[in-house]
Amino acid sequence: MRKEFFAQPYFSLSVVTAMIMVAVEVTPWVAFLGMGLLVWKWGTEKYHWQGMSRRFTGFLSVLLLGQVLFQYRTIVGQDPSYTLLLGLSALRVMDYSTERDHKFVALLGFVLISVKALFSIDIYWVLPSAFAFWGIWYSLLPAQTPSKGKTLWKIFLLSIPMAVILFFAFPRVVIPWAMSRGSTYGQIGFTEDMNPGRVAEIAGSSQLAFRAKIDRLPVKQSKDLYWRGSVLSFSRGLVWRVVPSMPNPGENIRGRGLNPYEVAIEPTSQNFLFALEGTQMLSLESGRVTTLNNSVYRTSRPIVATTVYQGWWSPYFKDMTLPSPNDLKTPEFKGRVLEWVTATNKAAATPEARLELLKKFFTENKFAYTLNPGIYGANDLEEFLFERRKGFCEHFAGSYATLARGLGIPARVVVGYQGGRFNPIGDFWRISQRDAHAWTEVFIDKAWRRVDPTAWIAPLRFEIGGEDFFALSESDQQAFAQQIDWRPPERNTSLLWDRATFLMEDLNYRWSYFLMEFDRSSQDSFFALLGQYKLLSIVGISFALIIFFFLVQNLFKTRVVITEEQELLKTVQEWGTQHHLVRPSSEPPLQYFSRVGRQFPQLQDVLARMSAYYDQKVYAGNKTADSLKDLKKDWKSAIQKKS
Amino acid sequence: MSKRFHELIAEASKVVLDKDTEVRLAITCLLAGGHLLIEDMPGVGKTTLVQTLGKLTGLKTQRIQFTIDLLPADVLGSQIFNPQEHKFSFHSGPIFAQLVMADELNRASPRTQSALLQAMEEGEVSVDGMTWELPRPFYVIATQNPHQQTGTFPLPESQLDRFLMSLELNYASKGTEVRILQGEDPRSVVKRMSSLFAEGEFEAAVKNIEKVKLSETVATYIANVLEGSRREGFEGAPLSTRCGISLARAAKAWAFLDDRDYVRPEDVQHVLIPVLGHRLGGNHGIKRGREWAAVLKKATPVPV
Repeated sequence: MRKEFFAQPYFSLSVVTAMIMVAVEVTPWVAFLGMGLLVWKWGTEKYHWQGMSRRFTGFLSVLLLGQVLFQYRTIVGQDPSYTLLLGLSALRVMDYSTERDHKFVALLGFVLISVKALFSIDIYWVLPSAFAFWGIWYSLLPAQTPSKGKTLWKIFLLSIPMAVILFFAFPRVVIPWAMSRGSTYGQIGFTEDMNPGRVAEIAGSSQLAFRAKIDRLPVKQSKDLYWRGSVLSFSRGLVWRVVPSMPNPGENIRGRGLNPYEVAIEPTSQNFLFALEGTQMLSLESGRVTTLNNSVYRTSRPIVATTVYQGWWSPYFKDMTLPSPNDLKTPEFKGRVLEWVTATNKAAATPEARLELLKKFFTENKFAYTLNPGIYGANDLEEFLFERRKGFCEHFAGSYATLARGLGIPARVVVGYQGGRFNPIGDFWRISQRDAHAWTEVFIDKAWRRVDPTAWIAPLRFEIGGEDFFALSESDQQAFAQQIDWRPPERNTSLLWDRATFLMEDLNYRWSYFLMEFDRSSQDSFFALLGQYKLLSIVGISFALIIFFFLVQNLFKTRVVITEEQELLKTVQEWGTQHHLVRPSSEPPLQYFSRVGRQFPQLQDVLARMSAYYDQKVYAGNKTADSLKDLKKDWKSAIQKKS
Repeated sequence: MSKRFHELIAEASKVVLDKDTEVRLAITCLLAGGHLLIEDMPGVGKTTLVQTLGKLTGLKTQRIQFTIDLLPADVLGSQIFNPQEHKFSFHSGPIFAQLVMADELNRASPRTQSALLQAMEEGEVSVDGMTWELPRPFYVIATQNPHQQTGTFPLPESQLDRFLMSLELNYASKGTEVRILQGEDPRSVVKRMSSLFAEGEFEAAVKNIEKVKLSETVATYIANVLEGSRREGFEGAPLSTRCGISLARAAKAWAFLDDRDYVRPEDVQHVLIPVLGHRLGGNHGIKRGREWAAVLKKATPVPV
């Protein structure tokens, strides 16, 4: 029998939903290909366009494999496999014409949904996933299943306790061999070097980087939140790179007076752990955090799934590691840069005074803060400092640190995120890629201290946060930058849209947090809690189960509404059965009434009236003179008379 | 109105002795506007029944004896050249009557059978590209020999479906036979009979059958019967929806004869075996079909 894909609205919509869910994860070309094929399939079914032969789809599958291999050089990993899966699914839908194809496409749909669930546990995907799952399941129920929807609900409800048990009994595990995000994902995220434009590129995306709960910390202002990701020590002017540093064996004791905060980081497939400035230690699963000697933290395995870690913050923490000679290395100065460095070194003797002059250089010359400064040539430092004076945070941080080294002060560049957007409903900070930032640390007074030259040039960026700042036009940004005492507009948090966004974000955060936080230790503590209240929990669980089964029973019981006439017949039938007069199902009720009447003549009168009542009501559809009440009463007295 | 029909039953029962149910079923069939098939041995009173009915209802009756060499033209009529007028004119065949008795229908060749059955279905006759309307009402009461007899062409299932009911008359009981032998020759009794109905009266009654009420409960019962015949394990041929419609019509006619304007499940049960017998039997014969119909009747629950 020929089957049409789009003729089954639930099924086709579900498969398309599953495909779209995966399509948002893959390179656009395959998403377009998939959607194009779907439209084509629709056309062949609805308007009898030319379809594809199986041989041609087979050929296309091979072509697809080739393209994926060419693009990714592998088929292992999330991106190539997503791409391949989506492309093959679309081609399979193109072939769809038999019952066998139906099963195959349904299976592919399930795979698509579960693959999606493996990589994104955002609450936003719960609904579409559920819908897709539902629709495919629906289509797989045998055609003769009575009331399919109801059956599905029943299966669904009955599976809830099983799901709960599985959830609590098998906690979430981090699979070390989990698929890596693949090469494309690195486009947003950090690397170990800083070319001019790199951070600007990161900040071009508003994708979520991580979320943090810092409500127990005294620092609560966006402009004070510096999330350190990496320290770059090798300077080539504007370009900086990491110099590999040794792990710091320093004490890892959760000291008194340390304030914990929590960060839930999105998968990056890299080892960066972002920590607030002043963080003394980070804790993840046991043994996964490495502390480098410049107060930077790394995981031992790349982060491939949303992960939660804890930071321990102290207001008194200072990085007091002594600078190495590395921290003074600069590229060879030339031209006007050399002139300026020599002049400044002569003009001031102490490091403090030299830094003061350096600050003056940045604040008094008209530097402009822009995401699109253009490309600087070979003599980039001089060109930036003395000619164009247009740049992004990394230009300022990079040149500042290089000049500071020129003045004999150890300096380094730190990259990470700055600020974030506070969600008042969920009490957490949302740090997006927009907040990517680079700043400087100089070694003064026996400790490393933060200097952020960008803050002098674009204070607004820190007042209102990256997210809002980049939403402004560039001319606006500059206009605000020149008016130092400009106040940011009060955010009207009662705006409905904002509230809705915050609420959704909060819900999503709680959801994914709940799911991913339930690991071994949570399980242990959960069972410990149960053990503590053994009796109470046993009673509670059995009570819940009883209520559950009662609910299921009641929801799906086919309630038989009995009519008056049926009640009448039932009364007589019950009595008759007791007196060995059973009505076979093929015996019409009126015949039964008269049969009983023949057997028990004293009942004949009332049975005749009942018969007439039944006849008129059921077959003739007329009103009757007799009332049910009277009949029942007379029936009762008649049978009593008999006994 | 139904008073006339009670008279009809009473009068007919005077001639066809001891066959009250069959007489009543035959009249029910005519009242429901359907054709009747009687299967039995020769000489049990089939012809007498039909002639009686024809006389009493005042319908114009014709009898066609079917033989193996009977041609369609012998039944339907033919175009004959008229030399005086120099053109063809149609000489209508014996089928142009209101009540046609097709005697021993299964003796005729399938070709002739189908000519008759087509006329039954369409209510008109086509000869040489010309079409003639048959008179209204138009009934065919066909008789056939049990199909095990030699020299018969069993009717195909699709054509059996055109008969609303099938009946068996069976041999009369010994007492009845004694009464028949002692009594007057039924043929002369029939000859003396006159119509009980005025012109068009019978036809009007047939139209009235539609007005008999069929409640949802009874309709469900009929649907149950149809469903039961399609269930796996049931031996008879599965029943069509058209068969269900026939069953409902017959039940209505039966209820009408009972002076009711609504149908009870009992009515359906009364006509169930005659209506379903030949349909369920198919090429196993009507006798088997009636047995299966009885099984179906017993197995089908009556909705309450």
